[in-house]
Amino acid sequence: MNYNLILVSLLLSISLFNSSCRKPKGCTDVTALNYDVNAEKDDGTCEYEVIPAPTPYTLEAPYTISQYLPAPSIPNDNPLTNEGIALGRKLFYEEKLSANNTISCASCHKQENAFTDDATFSVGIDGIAGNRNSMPLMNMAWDYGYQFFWDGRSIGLEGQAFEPVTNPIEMHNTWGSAVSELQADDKYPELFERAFGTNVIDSNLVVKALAQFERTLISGNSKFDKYLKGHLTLNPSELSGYNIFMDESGGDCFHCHGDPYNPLWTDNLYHNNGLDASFSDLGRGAVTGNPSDNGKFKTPSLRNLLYTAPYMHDGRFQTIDEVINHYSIGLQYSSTIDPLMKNVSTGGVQLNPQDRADLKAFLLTLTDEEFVTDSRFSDPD
Amino acid sequence: MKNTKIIIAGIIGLSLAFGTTSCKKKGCTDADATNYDANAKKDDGTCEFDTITGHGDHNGVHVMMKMEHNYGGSSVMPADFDDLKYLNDKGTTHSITKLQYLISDFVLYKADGDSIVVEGYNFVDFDNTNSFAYSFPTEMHVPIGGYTGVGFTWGFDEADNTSGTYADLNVASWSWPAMIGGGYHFMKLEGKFIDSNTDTTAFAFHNGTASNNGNHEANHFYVKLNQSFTLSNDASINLNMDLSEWFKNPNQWDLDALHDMLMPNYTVQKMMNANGRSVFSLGSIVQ
Ligand code: HEC
Ligand code: HEC
Repeated sequence: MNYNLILVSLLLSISLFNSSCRKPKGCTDVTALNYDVNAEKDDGTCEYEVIPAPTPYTLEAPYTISQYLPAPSIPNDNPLTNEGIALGRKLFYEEKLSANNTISCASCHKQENAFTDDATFSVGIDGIAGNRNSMPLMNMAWDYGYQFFWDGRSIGLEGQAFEPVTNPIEMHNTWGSAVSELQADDKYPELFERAFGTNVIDSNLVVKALAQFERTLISGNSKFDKYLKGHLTLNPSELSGYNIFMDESGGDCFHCHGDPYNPLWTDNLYHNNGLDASFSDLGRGAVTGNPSDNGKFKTPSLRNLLYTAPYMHDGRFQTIDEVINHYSIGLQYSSTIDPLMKNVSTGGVQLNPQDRADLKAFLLTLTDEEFVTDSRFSDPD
Repeated sequence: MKNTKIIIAGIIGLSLAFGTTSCKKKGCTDADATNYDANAKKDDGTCEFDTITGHGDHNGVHVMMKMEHNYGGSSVMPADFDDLKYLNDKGTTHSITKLQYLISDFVLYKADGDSIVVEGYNFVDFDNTNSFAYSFPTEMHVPIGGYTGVGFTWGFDEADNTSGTYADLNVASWSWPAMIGGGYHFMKLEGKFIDSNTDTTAFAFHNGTASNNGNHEANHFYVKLNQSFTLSNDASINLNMDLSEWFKNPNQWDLDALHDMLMPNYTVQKMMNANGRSVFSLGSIVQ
């Protein structure tokens, strides 16, 4: 018996039967490039646009940061890609993330303000203000503690980005409606496809893209960075201010706010720097439940102060001079005040007017003009 | 140091380098050799043994140092922080709110006069209790046998104490300002105390390079803790730090007078150096 022969004839008869059918054939998938509206039966010829895999991106750390700090901490499940960063940038400026399409992340994190804003308390979509000052966003890939917000209550940049969208006094949205608006948009599904290999949008992918963009917000080209590189010199007032900053018997700022070898200019830890004798906002203490954390807040970076006023977690100081006066003569005692706050009974480190002016001149050398004008960070639309 | 210095870490580095360049089939097939080649099928007679294990005993053990802390004998753990519950030698009540310190270059002194040095450092931080344990590199086989003691360097010696060198310490804001000698802090011990006016006042007991009007003096010291013991198995060696000793011996500490701006004070830095020498003792050795 020749089974092969039988098989061939069988196949033949099937195809004969098929071709005898009158239904128009072609590609019936609307998402295909060669979708045929007239075809009623799919003939397996559909062709699709091949979406290339996203291109890996490596953070370029500026000299001082790459020279002295460990590699940036980037979660394994959210590697940086060109497409992910581009999508994150668009989402950062996307008002559709808010319930009434009026505000975006960038409303409270403006590039010209080093990604904070100039309000004491930022106002959300319902015109209600929160009780905390917005925070500048920079060099967050080097925040190895992974804790974000003034009280560190969010873990990871991805985790943080979940919060503002649903926060009732910020974007006051639900993730469900934010995601369906993006899904209905004519551009986003393809952008998600390019960044993450799927055009089905979900909140996890939105926060991943946002986090990728935020990790590229790097500030490392201030006058002081250039001085450390040996590209320029500081004037005598700036140099004197630098010494006051670094001197334990002067301003003693470096213990919490970094130094040339910690060019983040923050320790990213929590301290009570003596703002109040009693607390209306417990800060870190409300997160840990430990009373010895009451009144502690995450140390902010001193980069770009020129753009980030007002200062402190509640935006109480409008100027750098007010901040320096605080450390000099304004300290308030409370039981959790940091031991590095000296001479609390007389109000602080007692800098004379010349020292204060010099300290301010030094702080201003940490201004990075490139950061607030860099076109890679601006609204892409 | 007077004893033969056998820097095991260095030898391991070398043997790894040999391992990768050696031929795929032939090489040293003795697992106890410093240049043991896991890929080698045929021994080519190139095996090298470091001078200690080479004496015939190739079965080294793995060693870990564990830091334990007490205040005049009672244990100090992170949960003990912030309470005004310690009484120093002068009779001042104080708390501890922060403790971080740096020790480096551990030494194991062998009974036969040799010593084993592990170059490296341990940054002990009460905010991260994992830092209490310091494992010698896993590739390192410490010979079994008799020992007479354990040692290490408080802080960094001059060769190691170079500004900006260690990324993990840089980001921990551990640098010591250049104007008082640069390098790194050796310790940050902070807390509050009840001063002579019964007010609660802060202290920041920071140790590092001693600086006197622009003359900088290295301020590390070597700790050698003598005690005979025999290593026969993987071991955890406990080192005790008695915090009360920082305020006691030979300089009874007056926190009222010396509680802040201690870093730029040469005399005070030298007093800390002197007091530090009696702070450590050897605890149990668990094998
Ligand atoms: C209505 C104003 C507002 C909007 C909109 C807003 N933020 Fe914020 N952002 C803040 C405030 C205020 C804080 C500090 C809040 C706190 O500590 O409780 C903050 C803190 C942060 C931080 C923490 C930074 C750090 O160093 O710890 C990040 C990151 C951040 N925002 C990202 C975003 C992203 C991403 C979006 C958009 C999804 C967004 N924000 C939308 C006001 C806003
Ligand atoms: C004990 C740690 C510590 C020391 C020392 C310290 N700071 Fe601060 N600094 C903080 C913390 C924490 C905050 C935020 C406090 C808050 O908002 O409640 C802060 C806030 C600031 C801000 C506001 C930044 C912003 O974006 O809002 C400036 C400016 C500043 N400090 C400058 C200095 C200067 C100058 C010195 C030295 C005279 C100094 N600090 C010493 C911990 C410290």
